[in-house]
Amino acid sequence: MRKFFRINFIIWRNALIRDSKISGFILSSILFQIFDIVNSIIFIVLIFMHTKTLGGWNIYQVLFLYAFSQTISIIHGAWTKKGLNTLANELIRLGDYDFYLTKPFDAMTLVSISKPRAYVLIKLLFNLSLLVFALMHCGPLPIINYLWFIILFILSFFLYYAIKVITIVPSFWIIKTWGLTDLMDKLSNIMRYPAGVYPRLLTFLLSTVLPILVITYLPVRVLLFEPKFSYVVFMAILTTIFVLTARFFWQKGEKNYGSASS
Amino acid sequence: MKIIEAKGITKAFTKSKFDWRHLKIQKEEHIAVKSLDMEIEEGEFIGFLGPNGAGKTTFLKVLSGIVHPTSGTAKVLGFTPWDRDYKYLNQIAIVMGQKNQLWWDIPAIDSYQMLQAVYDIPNDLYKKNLDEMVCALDMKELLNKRLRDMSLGERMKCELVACFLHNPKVIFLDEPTIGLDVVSSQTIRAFLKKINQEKKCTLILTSHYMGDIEELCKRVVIINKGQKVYDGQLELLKEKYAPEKIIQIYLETVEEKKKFAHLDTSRKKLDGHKGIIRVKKSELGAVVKEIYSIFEAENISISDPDTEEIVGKIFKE
Repeated sequence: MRKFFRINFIIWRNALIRDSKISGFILSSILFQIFDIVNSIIFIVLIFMHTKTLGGWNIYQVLFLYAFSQTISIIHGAWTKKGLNTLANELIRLGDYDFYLTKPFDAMTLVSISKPRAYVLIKLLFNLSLLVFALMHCGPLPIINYLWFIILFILSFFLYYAIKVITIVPSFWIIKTWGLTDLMDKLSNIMRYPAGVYPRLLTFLLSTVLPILVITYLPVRVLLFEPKFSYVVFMAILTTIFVLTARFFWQKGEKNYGSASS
Repeated sequence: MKIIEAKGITKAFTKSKFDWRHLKIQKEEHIAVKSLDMEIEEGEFIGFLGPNGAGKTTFLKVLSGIVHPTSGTAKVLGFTPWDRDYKYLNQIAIVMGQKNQLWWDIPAIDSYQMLQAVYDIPNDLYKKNLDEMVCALDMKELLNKRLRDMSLGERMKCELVACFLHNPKVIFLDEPTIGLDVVSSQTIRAFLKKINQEKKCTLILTSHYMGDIEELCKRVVIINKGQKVYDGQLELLKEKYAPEKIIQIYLETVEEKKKFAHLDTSRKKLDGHKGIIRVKKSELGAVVKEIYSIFEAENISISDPDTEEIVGKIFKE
């Protein structure tokens, strides 16, 4: 664990050195992302001009859900997204994954954390403001709700990561898979809305087979409504299954890895 | 003590494609390494030679644990490489001449600090190794330079430093001098020789440059089409495949060229102003006596066959 944090610290420090030299790109990226957030908020407000609830949730609850989904995406976007996308875009195809395999550190973790983007976290500041704003309009909430929320937030983080890994892992078999890097971004749009907006069958599938919905819906539900222990158990089991599945397929992929000609 | 033992290593790469005509998946198999056996003692510096596509790099990748073999067994430092035990990976290093493991956009020293964390190298050992290698390769000014601002030779020096930081016992070098100029190649060769002698580590080198092999390796393994063709001392290779000497005579005048043409030997040829005779070592004495009696001594040179030529002949077989 100590080794993990040390490596992470050095990687982040190096990323900051690197990113400090491309300020123009960072500024434009941040502006674009802020535009995206503002755009989404306007869209939600427009929806609520025509209805009082969405899937049984009011505007502030939906805003909180949206902001929470963005928080998860942003944290992963800053920490693991680029590293995992690089596996699909370059590492397998060019054979550069070789160097990860010869290091005495878990290759999947090293690839995931190898390319952080610190500047993405600036968006988090705007997002956290939206979270606080929405939460303030949701009324007072019991402390126990916050505790359950934190536990589920941590599980969400790992579940999101596991699903991302599962979407990227086909790169070990199908070498040119650039489309996979966008898949998680597209799927992440699903978790912005409450489960009630989706038909029952789809809700079931998006909560079990591809549990994208569960990543944000369950933690926010536990915070804003009545917390249920069964949600925590369900989320814990689901996260464990998906993390183990991601790991299993990654290791299978490594056995199939054939490097590339130099 | 045998540090590497490989038996029957075979690696086949299978490519699948869908045949739309017959609506089935067709598989094409390419065997890169075929039933290769190898034993390497601790401290040896071995050269792997072979034409492009012979299987040298693939074999290196099997031994370093990067790829799983299709069949066969191997033990390196007592470990099965493709199990990727961290205790094994802590003791090996790999350098690939055509790829970089260091980060492109940041100074080399920052990449070294990352490697220090990955390999868990204590500070005093890290500093000692870094200072030693920076001095040996004379590259102090490169430490704070970004990899993308370096020349190929400078990048290779940095890569070599990176691979020796954690005192590995086995180092795989895949064409480390490719694309380098003469001076850079010589610097790297001198460095590798020094490291092998001082640290007694085992080095396995693949290269297309005979200069590397001749200067660094006493033992040579020749691989062709995935199979081992020769495994032994470099000197014995010459004995086996070209047990002869080459006599070159510089022919200044037409008269001398006529004398050369009348020499009673079948294996001679005229190349511009140079007459070349290939002589078996057993017949050398008599031929040399005759040559020196006809031509001026300062125009005659006797040498061993070019190793590259010998190896090229083996590749073609």
